[in-house]
Amino acid sequence: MLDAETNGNLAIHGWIAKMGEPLYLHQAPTGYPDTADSWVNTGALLERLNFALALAANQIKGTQVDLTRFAGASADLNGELDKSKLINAFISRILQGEASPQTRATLIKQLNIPLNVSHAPSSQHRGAGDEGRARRAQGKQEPAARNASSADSSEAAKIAGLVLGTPEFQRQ
Amino acid sequence: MTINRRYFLKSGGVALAAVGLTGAAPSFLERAALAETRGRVLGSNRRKTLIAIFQRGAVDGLNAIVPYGERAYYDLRPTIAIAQPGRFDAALDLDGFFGLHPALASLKPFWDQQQLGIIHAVGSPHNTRSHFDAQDYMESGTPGIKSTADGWLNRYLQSTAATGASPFRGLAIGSNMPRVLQGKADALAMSDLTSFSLQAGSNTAQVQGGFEALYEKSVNDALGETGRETFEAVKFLKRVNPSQYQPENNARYPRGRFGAALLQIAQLIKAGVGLEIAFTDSGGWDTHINQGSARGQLALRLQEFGEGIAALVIDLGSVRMEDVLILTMSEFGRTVRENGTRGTDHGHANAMLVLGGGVRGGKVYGEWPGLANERLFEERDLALTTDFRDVFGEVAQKHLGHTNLRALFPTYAVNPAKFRGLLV
Repeated sequence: MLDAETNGNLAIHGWIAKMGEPLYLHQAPTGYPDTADSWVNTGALLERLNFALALAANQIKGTQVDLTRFAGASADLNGELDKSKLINAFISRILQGEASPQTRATLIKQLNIPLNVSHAPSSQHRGAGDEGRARRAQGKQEPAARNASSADSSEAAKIAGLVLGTPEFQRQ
Repeated sequence: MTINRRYFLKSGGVALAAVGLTGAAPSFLERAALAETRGRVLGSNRRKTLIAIFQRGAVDGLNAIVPYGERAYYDLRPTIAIAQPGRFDAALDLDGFFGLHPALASLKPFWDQQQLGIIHAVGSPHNTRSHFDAQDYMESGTPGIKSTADGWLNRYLQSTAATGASPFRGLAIGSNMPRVLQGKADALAMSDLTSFSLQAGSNTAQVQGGFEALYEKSVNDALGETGRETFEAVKFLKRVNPSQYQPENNARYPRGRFGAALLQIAQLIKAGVGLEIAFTDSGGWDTHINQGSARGQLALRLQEFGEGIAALVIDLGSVRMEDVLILTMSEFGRTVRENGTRGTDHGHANAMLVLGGGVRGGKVYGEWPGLANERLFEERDLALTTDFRDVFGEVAQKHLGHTNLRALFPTYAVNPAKFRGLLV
C-alpha cells in the first residue's frame, strides 16, 4: 500500500497494541474479530488516526515509508507538486480508488491550506506519556531552511495521514 | 421545573467553569448532563460512579490491615510486624483486633465516620502466584479462564449501554486500556486528560480540521458517529487544565502519578460528563526485599495510597460522595511469614477497602480464618473466606443498580445471600 519497511520492533508493536489489537496477544483462540464494533470507540479511533499520522510522517522508529516517490510522480511539467495528482495517487493506492466525492473534495480543500511551518512550540499541555512523541514532533521541524522537496514530502505526509484516517479506510 | 437546553447551558456552563472547563459544551456532554439533571429532578436514577483502584504487585494486606490481636502474626513476622496500638509506631486501632498501618492514618477519619469499610481474607480462589495471571483473573472476573475476551467492568458497560451515551462512561487513567475495561463497550484510556489529542506537531490543528471535515461528511453509521464524538471529546479535553484545577475543602493530593490520576477523576466527576466507571492503578507493592515495618518501603507506598484516596474524598465532598464508591483491590496477598530478606512473597487472600456512599463503614467484613499454621492456605498464606466476585457483585448490584450479575460474572453463581452486607 505505502510499501512501508518495518523491522517489527517494539515501537510498532506498542502502536498496534494501543489500537486495540495487540499482535500475538489476542486472548481467545477464535482469531481477531473483523467487525467494526469490536474496536470502534473514541479511544481506539484516536489511536488509529495518530498511528496514520505518525506512520505517514515517518515517526515510528524502525518503520519507514518513502512518500517522495508519490510526490515525485505527481510533479507537473514545471516540476511543481500537482496536489490533485498526489491525492489521486493516494486514493488509488490506499483506498483502491474508492473515495466518496465528499471525501475527495475535503482532501483537496485540506491540501490547499498551506502547512504551518512556524517553529513556535505547541502551546498544548501534554501528558508525561506523550513527551517522547512531542519531542520527536518538534525535533522534526529543526532544520531551519526547508527546501522544496522536504516541503513536498510534508504535504505528502499530511495527505497520506489524512487518507489513512478517512472513514473509508478505517471502515475496512 | 422544566429542564431544557437553555437551562442546561446555564447551569452546565456554571458547573464547567467551576472545574476549569469553559466554552461551548459538546453535544454528548449536553446529553449526559440533561439525562443527569432530569434524573436528579425526578429524584430517581441518579448517576452513580464507581472508582476502582488496583494495587498492582500484590499489597501486603496483613501489614496494611493488621491483625494485631493474633499472637501468630508477631511470631511469623519478627522484624516487619506493625506493633500493637499503644506502642511506638503502632497500628491505629480499628475494632480491638485489627488496626490500620500508621501510614494509612489519613483514612482513619473515614473509618471513624463509618464511611470506610474493609473486607479481609478476600480474593481469588485460584491458587496462581503469578502476578500476570492473577491480575488477569481479577480483571476478567473469571479466575482460571484465560480466554475471557473482556473485563468485568466492560461487561457492566456493555449490559447497560444506551445509544448516544457519553464517551466518558468508562475511563481509565493510565497509558494502556486495563484488562478490566477492555471489551466491546466504549471506554477511554489516557495517561492524563490532556494527552487525549491528535499528535501532528505544529500541524495538529490543521490535521484535526481535516479529519473533522472527513468525518462530518461521513455517512451516518457507527464509525461516523464515533468520529464526530472523538473530535468533540478531544476539543472538550483540550480545555481541561489539571494544573489550574483547585481542589475543594483544602484537599491536598499527593505528588505523583497516583495523586494526579485521582485529581483528574474528581475533576471529571464534578464536570458531570457522565462518568460511571473510573479506574486507575498504583504500583510498587511487590515487597520481596526490605519491605519495612511502620516505616520504610511499604509505608511510603501506603502513605501515598491513603493520602490520595483521602484527598479525593475530601475534594468531592460529602454530597457528591453519596453517589461515589471507591473500591480497592490487589491480585493476591503476601506470605504470612516474612522471608529471609525482610520482605514477603506471593501469597493468597488479601484485604480490600470500600469507601463512600452507601458503605456501612467502621467494620471489618468477612470471616477471619486465623493465622495458626493449620489454618493457612497451603501452609503459608492467609486463607480465603470471601470470593472477590461476591464483593464486586454486591457493589454492582447495590451501588450501580445492576441486576444481571450473571452477565458480569458468567462463570460464577453470584449469590446475594453471600454478600457481606458492605453496602446499604
